[in-house]
Amino acid sequence: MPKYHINVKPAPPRFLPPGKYVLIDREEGCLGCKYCVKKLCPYGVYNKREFDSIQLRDTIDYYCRNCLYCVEACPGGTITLMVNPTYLEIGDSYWKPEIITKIWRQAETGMISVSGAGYRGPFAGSGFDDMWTDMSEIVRPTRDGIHGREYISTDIEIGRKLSYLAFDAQGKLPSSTPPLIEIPIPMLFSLPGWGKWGKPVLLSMAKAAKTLNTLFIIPLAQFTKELHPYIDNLGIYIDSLEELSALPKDVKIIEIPYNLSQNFQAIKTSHPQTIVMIKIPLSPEAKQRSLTLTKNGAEVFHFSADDHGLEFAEKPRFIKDIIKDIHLSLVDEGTRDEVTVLVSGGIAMAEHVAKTTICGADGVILDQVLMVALECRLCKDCLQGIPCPIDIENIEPDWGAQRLINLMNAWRDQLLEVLGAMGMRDVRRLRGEMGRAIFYKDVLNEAFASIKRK
Amino acid sequence: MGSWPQEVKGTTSRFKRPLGKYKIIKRANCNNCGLCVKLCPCGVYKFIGKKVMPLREYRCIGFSCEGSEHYCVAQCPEKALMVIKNPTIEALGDYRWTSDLILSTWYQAETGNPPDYMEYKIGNSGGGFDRLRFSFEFENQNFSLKEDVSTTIDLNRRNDGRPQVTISVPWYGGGMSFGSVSLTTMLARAKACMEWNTFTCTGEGGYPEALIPYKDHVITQVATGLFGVREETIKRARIVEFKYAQGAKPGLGGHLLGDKVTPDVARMRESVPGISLFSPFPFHSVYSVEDHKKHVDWIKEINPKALISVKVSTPVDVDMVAIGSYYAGAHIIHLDGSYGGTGAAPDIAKKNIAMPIELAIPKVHRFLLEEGVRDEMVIIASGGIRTAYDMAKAIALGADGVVIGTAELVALECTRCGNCERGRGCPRGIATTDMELSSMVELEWATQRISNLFHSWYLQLIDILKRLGMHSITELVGKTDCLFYIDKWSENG
Amino acid sequence: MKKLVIFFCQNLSYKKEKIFKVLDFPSEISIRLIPIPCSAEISVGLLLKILETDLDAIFILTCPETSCQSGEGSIRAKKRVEYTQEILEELGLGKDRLVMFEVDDLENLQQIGRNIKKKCLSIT
Repeated sequence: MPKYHINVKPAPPRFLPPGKYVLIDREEGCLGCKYCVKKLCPYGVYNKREFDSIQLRDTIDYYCRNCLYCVEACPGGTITLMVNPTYLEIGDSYWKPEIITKIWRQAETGMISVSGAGYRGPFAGSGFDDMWTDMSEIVRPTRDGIHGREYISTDIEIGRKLSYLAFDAQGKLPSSTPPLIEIPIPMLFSLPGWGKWGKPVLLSMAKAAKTLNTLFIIPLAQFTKELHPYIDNLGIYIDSLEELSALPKDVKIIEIPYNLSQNFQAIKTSHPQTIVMIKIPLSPEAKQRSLTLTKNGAEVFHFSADDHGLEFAEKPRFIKDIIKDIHLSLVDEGTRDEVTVLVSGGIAMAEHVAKTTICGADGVILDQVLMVALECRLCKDCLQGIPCPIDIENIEPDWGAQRLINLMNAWRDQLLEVLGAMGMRDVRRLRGEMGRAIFYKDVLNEAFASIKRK
Repeated sequence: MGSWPQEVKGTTSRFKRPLGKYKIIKRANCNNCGLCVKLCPCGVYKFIGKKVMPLREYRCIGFSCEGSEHYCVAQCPEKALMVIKNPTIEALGDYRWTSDLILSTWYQAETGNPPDYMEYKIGNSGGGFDRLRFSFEFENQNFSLKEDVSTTIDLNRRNDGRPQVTISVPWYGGGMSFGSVSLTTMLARAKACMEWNTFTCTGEGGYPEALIPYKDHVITQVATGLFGVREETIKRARIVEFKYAQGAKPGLGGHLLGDKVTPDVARMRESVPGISLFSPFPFHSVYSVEDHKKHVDWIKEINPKALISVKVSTPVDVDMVAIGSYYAGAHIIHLDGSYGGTGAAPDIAKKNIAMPIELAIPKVHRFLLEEGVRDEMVIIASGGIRTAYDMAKAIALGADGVVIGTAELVALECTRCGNCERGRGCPRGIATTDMELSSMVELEWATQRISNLFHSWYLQLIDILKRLGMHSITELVGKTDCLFYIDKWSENG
Repeated sequence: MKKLVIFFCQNLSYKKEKIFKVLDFPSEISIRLIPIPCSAEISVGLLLKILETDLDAIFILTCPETSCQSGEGSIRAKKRVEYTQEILEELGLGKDRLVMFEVDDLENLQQIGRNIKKKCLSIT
């Protein structure tokens, strides 16, 4: 079988992203040196600079690499660098500007972000930032997957898996096995719960899902004619039984909200070859609901948190802690392997996919991050009736699809890095591997046990 | 060996307008009377012909001068002066290397002493070293030793007949390969380490011939790429370091991108110019502790006098790896924590894989104690050790000594811009072998800058030991009772 | 419909939404509010290039001279704006297209808003 490979192609942004720094060079006080430091800029940004008439900025801010050479070398001291306030306004407290600009770079190039100098961020944080993944050395080998030297699989299977097979007296299977879909990356697509996205965005996502051979879950109302050719890579979300009858007949997977779950058996009877995914918003009730539904034959769960990865509750817990809880409860019941657990909400970086899997998910469903890949800044101006600053409703679908394909390649490569470092050859092996994860608070208490607190 | 400790020689920045924390605005109504030139204790102002200019603006100590009688702003008869915080400082630094830490490292590299108007002990990362304090930082302590204290450590505690190697300071330089940094940088490090009787390390990229005069102070590194590893490079070193992994990118091998593989680098590494070099991972000849012992035995055979150091990352079972290295016959177990520096690494690896050094040291220290072999092994810690205080804290947590890397480059005026791997390399000429860029750094200047920084660290370590009532740095090892951990931490530390 | 852009110094510590509300413009005037780190960023060249686009006017809100964080931003911006205004007069575009205001406080901002609206109506 040919090895899975994603083809990346550069997909440059339509709007110049705000630079992190602003270069201010005043002309007053310039000494007119023969060898002006501007000519000696190692990155040649003074030659490349232009006026961006759309954003009314000097593009030098985008090219500048913040090496501070010109600032320190100019004898007249006429050049200053400052932080750009527009940059600080991108995103929000969870979707920070650095996260968003990294998503843009990956969507543009398809490459993992690599940089010099050691890690620059806070020691640890909350949410996904209070755990680290493990690595192997000496006593157990790693896997050299990233440059293709060893094969690491990122396939997952979606659907119900039987714990055992039953045979009749003739040695034949009395009933058919439940349907399964195998996808080559553990990431599915869906639309965020907010915003007006327009047909070109849907088309981009459908095209990308088809090229990557993954699944894009869309509401039935959005399944218009243009999307029909992509049915093999689409899942349809219905929110009433009436919509059930309007489903296209070759749909492979559908999603229903929790309040339709009591009709699960009926739906399966009328559509035996269609996988039914049940969407359960994360809340204190989610665990019990999933345990009960699993007993009653549920196939796939979609646990959704809000955009910051928090459950819908008074004192919300974070998504990874809840998934840990649900995963372990299913393991205790002995039924974990029968169902597929997919998770969405607050997945903003490739490391979140790995960490969510470690905490017990089979895969993730991406929503908001895909919009960011299409240049969205999460300004939410559209909710106020202000026109979208990046005109997302008019993107070119092939360009949009390539941006998403590039991002998925970068994320998959990063997943391979994490798996390789751990010595794993298969992402399914990562599921629930909490024993090898490093949880900050636990390790801190152990390491600093003998140190007095203040 | 010459005088001890080494002399400080004031070594100013290579640039005309080095960044300082404060900026001086001299308004047009200045009458060039020259009062500020006389008053300023930092020598900020100078006459250029008849005009007064704040030529050494970067030395201004800012608002701490305010109450004094030599505060230029208050004393200026025309009220023409204003002192403000330099807005460019906002664009410098990050949580680990704050702008104060970068500027104070530059200050120490220039003057050989720590500054008294900027933070030089801790960063702003909100955890690890930045939340640890020594007991004397809280109590007003009059107690301080009068006698001399020692900062030397011995690196061979195996009693195996191999020569002892003693270093006069409890740190040595981390491996930075030829190709990732320039030859000038490597030579400067080697020369400074020779002056201070410690070591530097060749890194993965081979042993440049120019380092041979300093061979008694250079560690040969054997890494997975095996670049430039030959019998003679192993034979000439007093210590050979096996690099199994690197903190900043655990589970991955070295990265040297195409544009940095210049003809000289390619020749040293027996490769082709312009082709990116990604070292394999792991050592494909080591898949078990027994294989590891074979590796160690191989080096011991070739060089019967050398000590062996095993450099590893910090996985969950780092203590197992350490004991395995003990049984394989290593002398030094070198733990490289996840927040360490690098020339190029994927961002996901820097942040997420393996644990920070502060959490790994106590684990290994305790485990080796329990196994009864702690006093036969030397634990060296690295990975984000930035200041003399970080060093002392690492030792208090259980290490015998430390390895430093980034701090030496910051002494050469690195700004932590992070462009090391991009294109031709470092825009300041430090981490590049490009002819034009690397000529920005001059060898004597670089050597003196690093030596001055070492001087400042040495002074601080002596001070810490005296305040703790200890006669030797070896008394500090594992003494967690002289540390406090700050429970409540706010953004401004 | 008039199109204008308002640059405001970030140290004014008013968020974009607040300035938008205080200035209270009628919807026929299309406004872009762009924060800048320091008014020293505004150069003569940049101003002229902006006026070459389809924008009708530029207004700049800066901190008062005495509280400029970079010490000299407002002063330099003022000189440059004056210079550019002379050029605009010579070109026959009128110097009212480019005005700089120093903002002391919120009330002052409202007054400035009224001034801007008046100027907009006078621009052809």
